[in-house]
Amino acid sequence: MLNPSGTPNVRLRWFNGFCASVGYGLSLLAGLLFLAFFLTHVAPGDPARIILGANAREDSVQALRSEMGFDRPLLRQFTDYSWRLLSGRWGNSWLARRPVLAEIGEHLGPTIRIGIVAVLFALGTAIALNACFFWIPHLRWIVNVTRFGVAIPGVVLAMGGALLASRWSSGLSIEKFSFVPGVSAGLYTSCLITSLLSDRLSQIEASSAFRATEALGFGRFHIFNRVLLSNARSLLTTLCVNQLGLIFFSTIIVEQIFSIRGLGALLVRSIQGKDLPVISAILLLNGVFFLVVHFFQAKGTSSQFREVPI
Amino acid sequence: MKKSHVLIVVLVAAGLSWAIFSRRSTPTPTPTPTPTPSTERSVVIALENDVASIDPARLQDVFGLRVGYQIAEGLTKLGKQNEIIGAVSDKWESNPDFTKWTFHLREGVTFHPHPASGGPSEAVTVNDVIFSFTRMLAKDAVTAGPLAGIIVGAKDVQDGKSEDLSGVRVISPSEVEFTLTRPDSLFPGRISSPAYAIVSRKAVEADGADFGQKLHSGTGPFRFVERRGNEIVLERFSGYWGTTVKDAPRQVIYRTIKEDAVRLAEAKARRVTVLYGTPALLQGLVKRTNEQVTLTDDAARTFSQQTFPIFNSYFIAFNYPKVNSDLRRAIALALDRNEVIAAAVPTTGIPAAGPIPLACASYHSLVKPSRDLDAARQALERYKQNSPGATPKMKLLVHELAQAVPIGEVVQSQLKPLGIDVELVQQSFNAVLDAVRKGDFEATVLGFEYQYGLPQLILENFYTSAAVPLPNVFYFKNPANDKAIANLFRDAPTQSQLDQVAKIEKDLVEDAPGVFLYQTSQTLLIDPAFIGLTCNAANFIDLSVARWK
Repeated sequence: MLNPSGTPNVRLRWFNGFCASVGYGLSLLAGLLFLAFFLTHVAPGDPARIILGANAREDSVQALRSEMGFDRPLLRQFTDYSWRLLSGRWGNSWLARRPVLAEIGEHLGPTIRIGIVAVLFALGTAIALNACFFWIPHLRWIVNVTRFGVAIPGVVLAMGGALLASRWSSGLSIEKFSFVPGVSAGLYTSCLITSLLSDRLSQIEASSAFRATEALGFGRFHIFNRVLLSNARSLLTTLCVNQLGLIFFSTIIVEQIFSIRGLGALLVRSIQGKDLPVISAILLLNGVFFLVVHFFQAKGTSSQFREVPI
Repeated sequence: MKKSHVLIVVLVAAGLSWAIFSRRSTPTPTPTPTPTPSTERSVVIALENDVASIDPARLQDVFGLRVGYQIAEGLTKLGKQNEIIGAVSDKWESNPDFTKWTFHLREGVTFHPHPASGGPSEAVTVNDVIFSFTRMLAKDAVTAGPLAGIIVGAKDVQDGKSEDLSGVRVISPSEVEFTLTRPDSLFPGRISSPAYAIVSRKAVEADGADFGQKLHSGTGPFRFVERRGNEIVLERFSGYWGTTVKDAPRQVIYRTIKEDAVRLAEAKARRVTVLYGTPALLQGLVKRTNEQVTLTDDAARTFSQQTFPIFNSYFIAFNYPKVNSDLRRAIALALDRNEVIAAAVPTTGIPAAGPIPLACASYHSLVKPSRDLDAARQALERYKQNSPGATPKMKLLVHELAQAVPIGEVVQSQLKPLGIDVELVQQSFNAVLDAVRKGDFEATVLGFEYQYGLPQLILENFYTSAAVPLPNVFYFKNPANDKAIANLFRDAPTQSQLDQVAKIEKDLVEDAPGVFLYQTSQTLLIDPAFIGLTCNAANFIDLSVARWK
């Protein structure tokens, strides 16, 4: 639609975009809601039995099952469950018997720390190594090592790194190990970003514009920083955002190995114990997190990021 | 430099310094050797998995029970020699027909200091006892099952019809009386688990959902200090009623380390004092000669060890009504338990043909774990004669727990020469439990970890009609068996009653609701500098006389 002056109606376009984003977000959350419910109902195991333990008498289990509504039709259970979540009643963990959000809040800290260390490590090593390659081209063979790392499944790399680290490091308290699990979780991403960044920088270095910049006599640091890195910025952002999922998955593995009481460990425990309230909450919060990240990524890529002319 | 690059550098620097400084600023719980006085050196006990809760009414996993044993106590508890001893109560008596029990509270038993009490330890009152029992009988309490049918009014509390437990009443400020729905001469043993611990009403009401997670107040020898990452920190309770050696360690840390290899490495590096040996972890560390478990020469340089039988039983559970009795007996007689043990638990398995733990005090089983192939063939012949045209076969559900897969494979290979076809069906443990609950199975491999040290209670809770479908996974119903077991609770427990139990166990095994294969022992690997530790058959460590050399 055009406004009287003939230019597009910016407000309407913004509104349409906003509605599309909200619609996309809501449909994604509804999908996650359904997935969480479906998984826990299709997976074997009776929630009431899980709450009361394998040795509980069947009449006690039946009474609890009835009270919690597990004997109602599946559709009714789904609508009840959705309504509870939408009205902010996230309920109590079936295993820990305490509010879900308190349970998640307690486990969130270590996971965030590991995640941040993993991202920083991946980004830091990728930039540092590529800077080394730029200044000391003889070191470029290291890229082959990182490519080998990419060829290994990320989970295996995280597990191997964590197992090795746990053997060499002393003590196993989370405070002491905030760095090592993060590095283990970020190993694969580090290899991937290093390799792809190296390829991108090689492409830029081969361009005539880059050679012209060199010919103009700019310093090495200026060239690396203003020319090479600036032109690889959108690649780095996209890689980081897309690798967040893998980093979260790797975090689950390293939390198991280092016995860290993080979100990953909580998720594993909840899946094993069919703790539907906790699984739902983690899935939904995870969904919201990725929605926000992708929203800002899309916004950043479309309006702010642009390749710096060389 | 562009702003974004400055930001990246700052973030990297911040992340690294966070990691480094958090490492320096947090005091580590790792015990440091020699310079500290022996009482100040922490004892670190490794757990194989997370503890979901240490609230007695929520104690569901064995790890929570291990920690809970140190913090909270019931009116009675399981002693070092697996006997029932007094805890919060020091004496008790019943009426002649065992339907009323009066417990006398021990003088001087106090709860651990708690923020809710706002001061020093408070004495346990009879109201705390009634509150604790009412709480443990709530609908969603893990502990409710075995008590619901016993205490008068318990069912109403469990069904939410009443908030008052009518069967428990105050006799005097130090006496509380339990009225039972039927005679139970073993009631003091029934409530001896840490899951039936007495907790402070004031603390529970003040802490809400944090009770058992961040706060606790029991009467045990150690008080809960904090939950720190993968650790639960306990401190010796100076006001404990029991005795301890003078130089006993002040602090005990339960640390979860899930990986066997890491747990072992930590113990070798002396950062873990006591380690529960799992079958996989013990491979190569211990050897078994003539039923004796000893450390290999290499391991003996690093650890001392204690090995003791524990309350458990691993078996093939038949669906009793569905599987032909002659076929069940044939399978039970044909299996070589030693071969099963060699495949599943070579270092810890003890052949046991009956369900009653060999560790039960003063109990002598009448069933022998011997293989009788001739009798098995005769039973199989009877099966063929009575079921013309039928092929002897069995669908055996196996899962990821209890070494079910290797056990299933050995059973399959042992029965094949006899002409019994075993089809192994692998499912998740939860799926198997579901199938068992619905009765939709022929046979499965399972294990029981018993909380009771009394054979009578084990028979009643697992092998009577009232326990079908769970925990009586066999769907085993035999009125004569039910009656014989019920009679055990009408008389005072004596050695002759235990002999009667042995006879019931023998009859049960001959009826073959399952094939009881083995029980396991527990090996603790201990720092040689730490001495005096004992452990009972429920795997509860007693640190009252333990100390650093």
